[in-house]
Amino acid sequence: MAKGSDLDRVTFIVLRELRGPIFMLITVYAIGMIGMVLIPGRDADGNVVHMGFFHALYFMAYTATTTGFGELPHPFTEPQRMWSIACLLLSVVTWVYAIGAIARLVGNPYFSQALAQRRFSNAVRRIHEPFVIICGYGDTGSLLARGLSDQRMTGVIIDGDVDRIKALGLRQYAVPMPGLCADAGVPKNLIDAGVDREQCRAVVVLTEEEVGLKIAVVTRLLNPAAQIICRCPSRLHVEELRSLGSVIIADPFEAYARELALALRSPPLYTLDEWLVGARGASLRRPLSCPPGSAASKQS
Amino acid sequence: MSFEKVAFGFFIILALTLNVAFVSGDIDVPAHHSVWLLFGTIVVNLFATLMKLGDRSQIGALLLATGLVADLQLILAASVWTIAVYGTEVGLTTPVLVGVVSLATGALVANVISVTMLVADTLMLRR
Repeated sequence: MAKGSDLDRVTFIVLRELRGPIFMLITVYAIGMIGMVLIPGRDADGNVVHMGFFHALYFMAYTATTTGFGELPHPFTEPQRMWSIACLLLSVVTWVYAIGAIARLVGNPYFSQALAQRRFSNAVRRIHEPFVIICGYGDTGSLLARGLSDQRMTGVIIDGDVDRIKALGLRQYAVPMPGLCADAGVPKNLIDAGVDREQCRAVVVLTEEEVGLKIAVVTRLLNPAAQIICRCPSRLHVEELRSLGSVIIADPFEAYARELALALRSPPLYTLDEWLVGARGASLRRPLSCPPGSAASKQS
Repeated sequence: MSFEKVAFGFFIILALTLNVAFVSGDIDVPAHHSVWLLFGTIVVNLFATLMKLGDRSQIGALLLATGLVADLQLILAASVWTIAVYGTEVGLTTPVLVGVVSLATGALVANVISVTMLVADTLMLRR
């Protein structure tokens, strides 16, 4: 099926739900018109005349919407007035019901989700510069987005948490950062995020390992040129990720352990390293020194 | 058998039969073409179109399309009639009536297609 079939499907469901209110509206209009045509009226000279269908529709049109232009084309007879009351009550109540039903459908969560997805994929399609897909918008994800924004590089963000995507909308970025609340492990959502486009330079995976593995496989299959960067604390999954080829795997525990080891073994080197890879404008700190009497201080 | 299926078939076939009832007779004799039948045909056609709404299958899409064609032709026919009688001084002359009935005959073709499709679809299900 074509792209956006999700919205089509939901639109059809919404249309199905609209059948009831529209059915009632047509019925009430038809009954009102039949009544107005059947009930005899009188013209200015007192002759019996029947209202035509055109005038009956005109009457229903202004009565049902509570406009009330009056008794047209001739002043009504008493039976016509009685029928007018019935028409007005029935049609106004039906309109209120129909408007309520339509408003409820517009607020339908599936409908708004499908609309959001469509808006997201359109926003991604409008990106013509290289971009990075970030799966998972937690602490790391938002730091990364900030960094990308500072480099004037666009990020496309997918996260399963509604609140995080809402928070994304409140951030001020220098470049557009479209975000979608969805499961990044589903290939369709990744395609909406533009994973198969040549402008997609990298996919950064910051989700749980299981989902991350799925994302990595989908990315490798759909876009072999894109770089995959994966945060993966589990040894088991590291092996599987390695089998995909050139995947950059960042194990946060290992990174921390390496830094800690460096800090213990060679505090000046650690300080220098921290200064070099740190944020722009960071100043060189004094090397760490171990408290006297500890194992590390004896070693050095 | 479900109530929805009965209602579905009922409105689609009633749309066709009422349409035939309006169109039948000599094309230029006003007495053969009751305004009530035209009104009924329009209302029932609108109902039939509504019933067809929301079916995503290929046949459902085609059914909806025929329904929309019939609605369009019938509403045009009613508009021609209304404009001739109320909008201008022409009145229900022979050319106007012929135009109205011709448009309604066009709608009849669309209704025949939709009933044929409905019946064919049902017969295919039998096997």
